[in-house]
Amino acid sequence: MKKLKKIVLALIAMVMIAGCSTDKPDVVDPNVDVESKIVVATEIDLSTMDHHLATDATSFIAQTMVFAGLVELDENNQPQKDLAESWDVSDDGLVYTFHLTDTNWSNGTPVTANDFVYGWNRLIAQETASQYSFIMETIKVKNAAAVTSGEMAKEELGIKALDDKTFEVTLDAPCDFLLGLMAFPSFFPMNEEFATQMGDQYALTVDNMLYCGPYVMSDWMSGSGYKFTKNEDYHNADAISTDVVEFKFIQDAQSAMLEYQSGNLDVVTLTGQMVDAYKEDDGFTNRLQGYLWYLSVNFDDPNLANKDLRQAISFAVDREKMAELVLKDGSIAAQGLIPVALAKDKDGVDFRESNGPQVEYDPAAALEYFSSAQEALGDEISVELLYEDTEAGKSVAEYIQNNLETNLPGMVVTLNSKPKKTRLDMMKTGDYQICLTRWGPDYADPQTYLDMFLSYNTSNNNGKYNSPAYDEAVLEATQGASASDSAARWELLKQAENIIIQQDLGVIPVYQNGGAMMIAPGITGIEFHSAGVDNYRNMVKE
Amino acid sequence: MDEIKFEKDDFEFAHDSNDKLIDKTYSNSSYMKDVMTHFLKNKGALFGAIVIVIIILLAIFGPYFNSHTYKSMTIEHASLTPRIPIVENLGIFNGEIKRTNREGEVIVTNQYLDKGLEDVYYWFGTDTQGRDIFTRVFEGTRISLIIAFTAVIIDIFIGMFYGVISGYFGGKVDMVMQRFAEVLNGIPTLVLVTLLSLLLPPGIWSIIFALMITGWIGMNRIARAQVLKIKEQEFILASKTLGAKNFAIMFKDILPNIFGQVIIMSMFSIPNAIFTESFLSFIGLGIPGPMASLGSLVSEGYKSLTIYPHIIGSSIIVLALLMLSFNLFADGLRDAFDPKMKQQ
Amino acid sequence: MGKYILKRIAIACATLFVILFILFVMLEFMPGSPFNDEKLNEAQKALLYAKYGLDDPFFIRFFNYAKNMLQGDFGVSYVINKNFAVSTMIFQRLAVTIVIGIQAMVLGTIVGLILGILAALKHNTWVDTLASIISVIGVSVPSYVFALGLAYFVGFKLGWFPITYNPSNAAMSTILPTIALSLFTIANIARFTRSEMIDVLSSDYILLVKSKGIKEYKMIIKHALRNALIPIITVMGPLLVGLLTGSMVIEKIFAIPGIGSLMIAAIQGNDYNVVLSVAFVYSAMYIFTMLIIDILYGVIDPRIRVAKGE
Repeated sequence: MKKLKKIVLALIAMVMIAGCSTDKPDVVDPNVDVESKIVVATEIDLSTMDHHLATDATSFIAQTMVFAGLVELDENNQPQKDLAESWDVSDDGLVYTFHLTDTNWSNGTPVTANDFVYGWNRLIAQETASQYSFIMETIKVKNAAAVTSGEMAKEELGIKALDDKTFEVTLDAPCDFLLGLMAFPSFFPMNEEFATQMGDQYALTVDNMLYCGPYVMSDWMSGSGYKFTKNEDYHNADAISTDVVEFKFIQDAQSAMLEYQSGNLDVVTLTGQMVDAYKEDDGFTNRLQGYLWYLSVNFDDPNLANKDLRQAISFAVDREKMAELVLKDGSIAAQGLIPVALAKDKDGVDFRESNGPQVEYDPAAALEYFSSAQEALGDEISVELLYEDTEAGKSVAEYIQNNLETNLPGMVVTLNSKPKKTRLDMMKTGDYQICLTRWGPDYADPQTYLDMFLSYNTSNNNGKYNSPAYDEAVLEATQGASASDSAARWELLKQAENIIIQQDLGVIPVYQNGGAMMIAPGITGIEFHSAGVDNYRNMVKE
Repeated sequence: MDEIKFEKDDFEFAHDSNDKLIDKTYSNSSYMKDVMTHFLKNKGALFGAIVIVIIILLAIFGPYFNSHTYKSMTIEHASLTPRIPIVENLGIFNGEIKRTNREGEVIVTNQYLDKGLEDVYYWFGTDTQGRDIFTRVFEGTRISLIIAFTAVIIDIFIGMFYGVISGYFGGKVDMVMQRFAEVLNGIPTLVLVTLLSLLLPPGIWSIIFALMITGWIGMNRIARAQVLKIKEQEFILASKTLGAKNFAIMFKDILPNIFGQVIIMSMFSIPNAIFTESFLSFIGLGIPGPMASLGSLVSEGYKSLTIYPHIIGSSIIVLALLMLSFNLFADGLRDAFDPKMKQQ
Repeated sequence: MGKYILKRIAIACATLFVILFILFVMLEFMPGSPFNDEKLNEAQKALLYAKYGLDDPFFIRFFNYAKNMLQGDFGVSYVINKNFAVSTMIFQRLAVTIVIGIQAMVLGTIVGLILGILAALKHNTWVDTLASIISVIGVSVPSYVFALGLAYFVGFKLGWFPITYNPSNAAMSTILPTIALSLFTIANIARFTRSEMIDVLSSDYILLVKSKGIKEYKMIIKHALRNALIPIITVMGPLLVGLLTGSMVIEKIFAIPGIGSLMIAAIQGNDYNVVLSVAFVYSAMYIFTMLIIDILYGVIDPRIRVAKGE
């Protein structure tokens, strides 16, 4: 019995020790009340702070907090000055000269044009193996392709530091969206001396980075969260009104929402199901993202090579209901390959609007096409739909299956769910029939979508869509004579979309991603961008 | 005339009560009949058996009770709460949903009436995709039972034989066999199962196979531990002395004696199998949708647990009932089979 | 005893090596690659493979990895925290997983034993039924449902404990996950204790002890429990590892930066080195636990020690 007593005593002691520690947090940080602090929940952990290695939104958002680019996007997606005080563009649109503002890295050394030269060179250097190295070619920097592939020395790249505060970029052809992209972390500067000194330890801890943005990273605990503290040396520090921004990694949306309701979190993302319960609450925010989800069809598959079948599938999916009743998070039905609010022409008309809807729901037409498909392929046609194992992915895949099997009697759809990485691998190796996949725009131009399905694009054209007419239209728009003529280029891009979607059904667009969030009342200044990185720099808490 | 009444204490035993001997004759009954009688006397076990039979019947016939199938969806009917004819008049299961808003007021809405579905009844409600939960729960029960039974039966066979042989022979044989089991078991089950289900095509058989790979080890462990305990006992020595062969001793003398333990263990293996499947569903590698298992229904319902608790409710209740019944049933069986227990 | 323990340790090390090899082979067949994002081109992929030595032949990679591992180098993460040393990642996260696992084990064992003993002593009464019900709930409600229930009612409605992990208040943060995890252990231990105790209590030597007039609690602790404990200890090893792996789901719900959540992220992200290392750490913990249990076994039941040739 003595032992039992001991155990009981030990238990009591444990509880008491635990009990004592509850009082602590209030005492730990005496500055808590004077500081303004915003806590944001993130569902994905921070992967890397090296802005050349980053590929996901979470990492990009964190990087825009502590680093800065030449420009910053405002809430209307317009570039505003950041590290560049001003810039000149030559009349032919081929030379951009950026004049840098006076500002320092967090170790006191000034930010110079050389930091940009080093950063840009590092982006495309072979040994960096940055996934975004292609973006240098996209903005058509002179010799970008040759330098990236290693055929030319890095000095041949069309960038130059004219002096410490002047950075010049020379292009092969004009690029409409260059300025907007300067806000993208891939184009941020990097201090050569520091980065070389750190070697492969660069950006692995908060001390192994140099900051030039509105915040410095003050704490980073992998698997738990990370914290930013205001950078008083930032050139525009006066405009930053929140002292501490903390990102807390919580995978489970329901736990995050409980924390939000207890007042411990200020910004959380909701799942579609949670929208029903919270859509009436203050702070509920619905946004539209630039991600387009589409069905990639494998042209090597005999069933799907049949155009009637693809047409039937496209007509049989009720995208409106899917967005409204299945997804609920502000997603909208896709009308074409290019999402809404991605890019506007010179007159400010949205591309989507000017090119009209390319896909629609029409069960009668679907049935008609399906009958012709059945004549060619037999009465029972079965396909496997590959999708990734997220909640939304599952609901959408099951809904599509239901649509197809209900609207097209004789169609058998089996579902195959895989983790994202595995799904991507299966797509790359062509080991699929139909795959529910997505593409997020890297920049605000239709080209970011259209480039993917060029017949020779081996990394993205997984379905092996091959149309000379399409290739021609896209190439003419990006590299041909029309590239510098905005209006003509726009027409070509529209034409390209018509070919791949309406005419060939090379891919079948499904929906454009929304995002439902709860933002605590009183917090303003979060800027969402359909292309590029959401901006959490300018948050204000009343 | 007074009638003479006898009171209880008017009489007493002639001898001191401590000395009395009451003879009792034991009826001659067969072992199985004995087991049966004993089992039927155990109310809990009987209850368990009945519930298991009911659930199995529902799993077989339940999905045909209404016009819905496990995958037919009416997306407009999504997330409806349970509504049962007649019962609804009692004020429960009438399709109402109560929600407390931020001001603390309770708001009662009835989605059925709001959507103009006066004549529509979903007994267990619908899920977020507008599918009938009743049909899905019993469809899921069917698949879960198939998975669990198959996996556990395979486990019992492999694990028991392995454990008995290993424990009985002891020495080198035991060491090699247990080392092998230990190595296999040293790899965390979930890792093994996850990797396997990534490798295999999605479906019931892959899950059964993945569960089987490590499932038998626990059975082996129990069997072996029991053998170690039993093989030192006199009756084994007696058998040996009488010249029984090793295999005869193992399977005739030892096996029946460890059966109780193995049954208990296998009753734990059933929820284990279902849980591992549910874990796989949880990380997206379980039964491929829109097919359902109890595990996948639970993990599906979990995603809207704080908003639509009714979606997870019915599958959890069926799951819990099933487990309770299996446990009670197993206990009953154990008590009935185990001769040692009869003394009580 | 010392020689026996040494021998066991040597065997454990050999076992671990074999496990490492098996894991390595399994990962070899795992579909996908850590470097297959949409935007990566083939040349870059090849470059990354070369950089991390993934294009070497299988055995060279295995022996390099094993060699580095001996020196405490578990490689770097490719996906979760790019270029982070896996050893540091695991080291940072291991403590919290182990703390929660052990707390759950201790809590689960104590409550489970008490419930089991009570149920056995009051066999076929309401106490027995109550204990059965608790243990049935424990095995039939998935721990993540129970966890979210706890988070909702105790964490949110009552506000007693933090809902998600808070590094500045770590001790309190572990309480809800501990309770959520321990339920399964409670249920299992209670069941096994009950059935073993019933067995033992009905045996002749207990009758003898009883007839000697020894006090009941003394009889239970000194005579009955000791014999009932042996089979219970066999299930404790797997239970502890079950707890550690079970923490994968719990860690996700309570946002705990432990190795369970790391494991899931790594499997989903094809982060080879992390999968391998975490799986290896799990295995090592398991083997270590089994070692201790083996030794405990010997202490509790001398017959087994004798049987093993000590």
